[in-house]
Amino acid sequence: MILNFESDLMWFLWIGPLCIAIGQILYVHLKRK
Amino acid sequence: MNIGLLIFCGYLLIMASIGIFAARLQKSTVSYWVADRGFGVPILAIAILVSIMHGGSVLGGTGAIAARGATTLNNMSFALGFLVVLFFMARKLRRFGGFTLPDFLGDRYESNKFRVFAAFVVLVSAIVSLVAQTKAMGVVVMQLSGLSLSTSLILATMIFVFYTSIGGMMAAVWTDIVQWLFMCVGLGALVFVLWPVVGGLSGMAEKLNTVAPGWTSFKGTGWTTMGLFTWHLVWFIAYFTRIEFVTKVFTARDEKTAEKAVAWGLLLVLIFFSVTVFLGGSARLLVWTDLKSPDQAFPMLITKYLSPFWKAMALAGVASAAMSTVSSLLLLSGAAIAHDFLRKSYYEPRGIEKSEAFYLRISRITLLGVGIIAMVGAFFTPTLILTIVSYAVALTGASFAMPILLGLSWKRVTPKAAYISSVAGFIVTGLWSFFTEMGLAWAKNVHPIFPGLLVSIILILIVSLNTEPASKETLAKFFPTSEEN
Repeated sequence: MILNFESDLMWFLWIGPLCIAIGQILYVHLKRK
Repeated sequence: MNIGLLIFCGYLLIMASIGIFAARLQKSTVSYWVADRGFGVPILAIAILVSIMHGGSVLGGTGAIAARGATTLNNMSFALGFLVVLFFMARKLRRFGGFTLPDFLGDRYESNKFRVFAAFVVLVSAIVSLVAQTKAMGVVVMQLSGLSLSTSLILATMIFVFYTSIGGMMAAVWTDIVQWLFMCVGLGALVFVLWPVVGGLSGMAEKLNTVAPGWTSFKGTGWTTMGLFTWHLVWFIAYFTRIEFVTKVFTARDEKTAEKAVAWGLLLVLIFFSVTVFLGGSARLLVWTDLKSPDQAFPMLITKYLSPFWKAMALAGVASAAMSTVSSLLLLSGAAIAHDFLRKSYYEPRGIEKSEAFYLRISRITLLGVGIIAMVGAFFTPTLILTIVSYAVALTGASFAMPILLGLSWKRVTPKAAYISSVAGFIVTGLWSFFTEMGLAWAKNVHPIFPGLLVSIILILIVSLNTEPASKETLAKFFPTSEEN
């Protein structure tokens, strides 16, 4: 349970997508060219 | 004069002023269709968010999530869809530098036939969505202004057609920014008021665990595993082929800006769409028993918990979400006719030279015409319209996904293969939608986008391996030697 939501939902709904979003932002800002 | 009408009048005034200001900066069709390719990251990221987040995503989204659980929200589909756009499309489409997707498909596959077909698909899909969204916007404006549905529809259509047709993409995106501010204030006020009532996000979830068991689980309430999987998969495909999103990269200052805007756009999308989980959960807890249908969840929440002023602001926020999407759709439909059909498929191939001023005038007249069609269409919208919209989204997905994705990343895709796979994807999805509507059981079990996409994938691979690729000159344009793929 995270914030009273089941953990697998938290991963599917927020943690996973947010990791993708932050990963994308880091990628476009840090890559060369 | 009631407060809602006052806010609506102020809103219309701001939008009209932006349109007039943007109109004075229109020098050519590059200004008109892609805003002189001058947008930076923040503006573009917000424009991407609001063109995706339409009135229905707030109203329908709140209702659907209230009914079926937090798992209904498509955050994962957005994230994966944006990932595809970022890694396979944003940089290359921006570097190509056209105005529209038919532009890209026509040039990449050296085929005017394909350009015309693609413009036809865009036009059908955009006009169907435009009519549905115009109707939805009319209903929200009616609730906001207190005027009749027909007056609200006419007023709201007049204003978005006015600013979009005179100011083009610039007006559409600048108004997007103001509309986004309205959304922030309107939705922010509702969240602010409801937060202590339900005990924040975790308090809300705790109560929901007893009131609606399963609401906070991965499986949701009332979903089958297959149903849930299909729902997210369809939206994943729909998002990387969503024309009002993908075509925004053409307006970026450069390739790097296009990529950054997509990346930041995703973060904004996740934040703003997540609000609907809180609103849906609150609706389930606070007003569920009073509702006749889930669609009333949002209106009921604001009626019950906000003062008249803040209720009007929240409705102005939803009206803004609706209007920013219709202006994007109007531009897309107009571009398909004025740019893809008239200029690129009729005048230019015949060597008929026309001035930029002529094309600018034609573009404005076209948008005006399409706007009038949308308004008339909205008056006679069948109840089936939302289902038709989902078929329209499926049609663009099945027709464009493979030719765009593979066309940008695989040199071997041949013009014949892309065209055949696109037409076949369109026909199969179209027929499957028709069979579903006829009530055929075998068709109903599978969403129309899947058979269409499957046929499109098979054909593009088989035909590509047996026909000639595009010319060396064309390939050099889309695959510079510095790039590995």
